[in-house]
Amino acid sequence: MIPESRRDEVVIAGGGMAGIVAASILATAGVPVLLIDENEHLGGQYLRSPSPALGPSLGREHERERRLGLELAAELAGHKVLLLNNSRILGIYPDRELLVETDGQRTMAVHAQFLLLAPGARERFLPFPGWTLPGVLSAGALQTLLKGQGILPAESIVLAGSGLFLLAAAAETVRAGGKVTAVLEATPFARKLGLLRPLLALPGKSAEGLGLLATLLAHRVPLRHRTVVVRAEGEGRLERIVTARLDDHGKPIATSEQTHPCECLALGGGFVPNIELAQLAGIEPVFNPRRGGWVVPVADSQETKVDHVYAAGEITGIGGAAKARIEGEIAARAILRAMGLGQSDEEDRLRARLRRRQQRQVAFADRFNTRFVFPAALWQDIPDETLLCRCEDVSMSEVRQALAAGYTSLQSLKTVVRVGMGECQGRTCGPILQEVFAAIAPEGAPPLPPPTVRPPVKPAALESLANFF
Amino acid sequence: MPPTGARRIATIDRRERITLRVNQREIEAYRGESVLAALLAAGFWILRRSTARGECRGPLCGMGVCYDCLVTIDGRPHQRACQVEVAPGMEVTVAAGEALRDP
Repeated sequence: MIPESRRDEVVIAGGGMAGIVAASILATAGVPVLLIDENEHLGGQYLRSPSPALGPSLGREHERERRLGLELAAELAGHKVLLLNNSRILGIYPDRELLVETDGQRTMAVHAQFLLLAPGARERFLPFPGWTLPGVLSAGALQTLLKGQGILPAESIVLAGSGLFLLAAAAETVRAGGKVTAVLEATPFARKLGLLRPLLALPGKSAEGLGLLATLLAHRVPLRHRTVVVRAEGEGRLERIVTARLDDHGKPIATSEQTHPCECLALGGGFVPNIELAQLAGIEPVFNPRRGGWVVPVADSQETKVDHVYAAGEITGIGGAAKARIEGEIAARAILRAMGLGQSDEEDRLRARLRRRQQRQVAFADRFNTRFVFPAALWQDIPDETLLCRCEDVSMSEVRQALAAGYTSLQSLKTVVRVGMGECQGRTCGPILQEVFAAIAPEGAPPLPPPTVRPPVKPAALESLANFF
Repeated sequence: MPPTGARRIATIDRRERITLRVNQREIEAYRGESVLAALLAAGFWILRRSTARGECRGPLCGMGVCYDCLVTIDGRPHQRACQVEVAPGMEVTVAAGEALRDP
C-alpha cells in the first residue's frame, strides 16, 4: 500500500502560543501552513480552553497574554492554515521529510520546505515515596482539568513543589470554587526578594504576579516556604501527606514532620523543554540549567543549525508564554524573509524591537528559573524505596546502585535497570535522572547527556505504521 | 475522612449530555469532555495497575506525556484517557480500581 504523502511550504510542530502566533503571521502573509498538534484542540497548555463541543467558558480571562493568544487562535480558523490535530510527528529525516501519525490510525509522509519546531515543555517532578498514588497529580494537570474540562479534582487540594506556577494553579483553583489547604514552596522566601527589581521591569509580569497574590490573600491560602512533602500515604489511593520543613542545607527536619489528611496533591517542580523533535532533526541540544536543562540553540532569527529548521518557545529555554509569543513572531518573520517576502526598513526595525523584547523576557526567565530550584540535598537524599520510573516501577535504590556501579549514561541505565524503557519513553523519569545525577556527581562533572532519540518518538500503533512497510 | 471526589464546576456552559459505559456501568458525561474528566467526575481515580509491581495508578500529567492514565476505549487498549474525547455509547474499561462513589 502506498502511503499518503504531501508537500508543504511551512510545517509547524505544536499548536501552543509560539505555533499559533507563527501560523497567524505566515497565513496573513498568504503562505499556506500545515500545523501539527498532538491535542484535540489548538492552544497547547497555556491557552488550554474547553472543547467547542463542550461549551464556552464562562469565567473571566485574568491574563492579558492568554487573551491575546486566544484571540489569535480564534482568528486562525479563517486563514490558510491546515490543522492536523490529534497528530504526532514520529520521525524527521534529512531534508525535512516527516513521518506523521494522525488519529492514531494512519501515517503519512510530509515534506516541509520550512519547519518550525514549537513543541513546548513538560513538567519536572521531585519524587518522594507515594508520589505514584492516584490522587497525586501535576499542577499542570490540575490547571488543565480546571481550564479545559471544568473539573475540580477534589474539594480541597494541597500544592507542593517550587515555582510561580504553583501560585497560578492555586489561584485558578480558588477562583473555580475549590479550597487550597496550603501551597508548599520548597525554596526560602528570602530568595524571592531578588526578583522584585527584574519583575518591575516587566509591567505585564508584575501585574500578573500581583493579581495572583491578591487572589491568594483574598482566599486566605496559606503559603509555606522551605516546606516539602516527604511522603504520601494511602491504601491504593492518596489519603495523607507528611510534610517537613527544610534546614539550611535543604534537608528535611525530622522533628518538623506533620501528617495531614489529603485526597489531592498537585506537584509542580518547574518545566523541561521538549527537545526530542529537534534531536530527530539532527540538532545537538546544549545544556543550560537556567533555562530548564537541555535546550535547542538558535540564531537571532530562531533558525537552528539545520537549514530551514526553526525553533520557538519553551524548546529554546523555559521562559513562559510572552517569550513564546515573541519568538513565534520572530521565527515567522524570518521564514517570510527567507522566502523573499517581507523585506523592508520597517521590517528591520520591527525585528530589532522584537529581539529586544525577547531578550528582556529571557533575562527575567534566567533570574526567575534560578530562584525556584529544589536544593540538591533533596535530590541526593531521595529515599531508596521511591519510584523514579513510573512506567517500569524502577526505584531510587536500583538507580543508586547502578550509578555506583558506573552506569552513568541514560543508555546504560536503561539496559541495566530498565529505567526510561516504558511507554512515556523516559519523558517523566529522564529529567528526574538528570537532576539526581547532577546532585550526586562531583562538582564540575559534565551533565548527563539527553536520551538518544529515534523514531517512533512517541508510541505508535502497529496498525498505523503498517501502511508504511 | 471519606474522599470528596472530583466534580464538575459551573465555569463552562455545558451543551450536550451523553452517556458512556465504564466497566459495564453507565456514567454521565458531556460531549467535548476528555475521557479522563468523565472518569474523574464519576469517581474513578484509580485507572490502571503498574506494569511491574501491580500498584494502583491514576493520572499524573493530564497532557499526554506520562502514560499513567491508560485505559481501554472501545476495545483499543493503551489509550490515554486525557487525550481522547468522549462519544455517546463509548465503552471504557478501567483495568484497576472501583469508583469512589456510585456515579
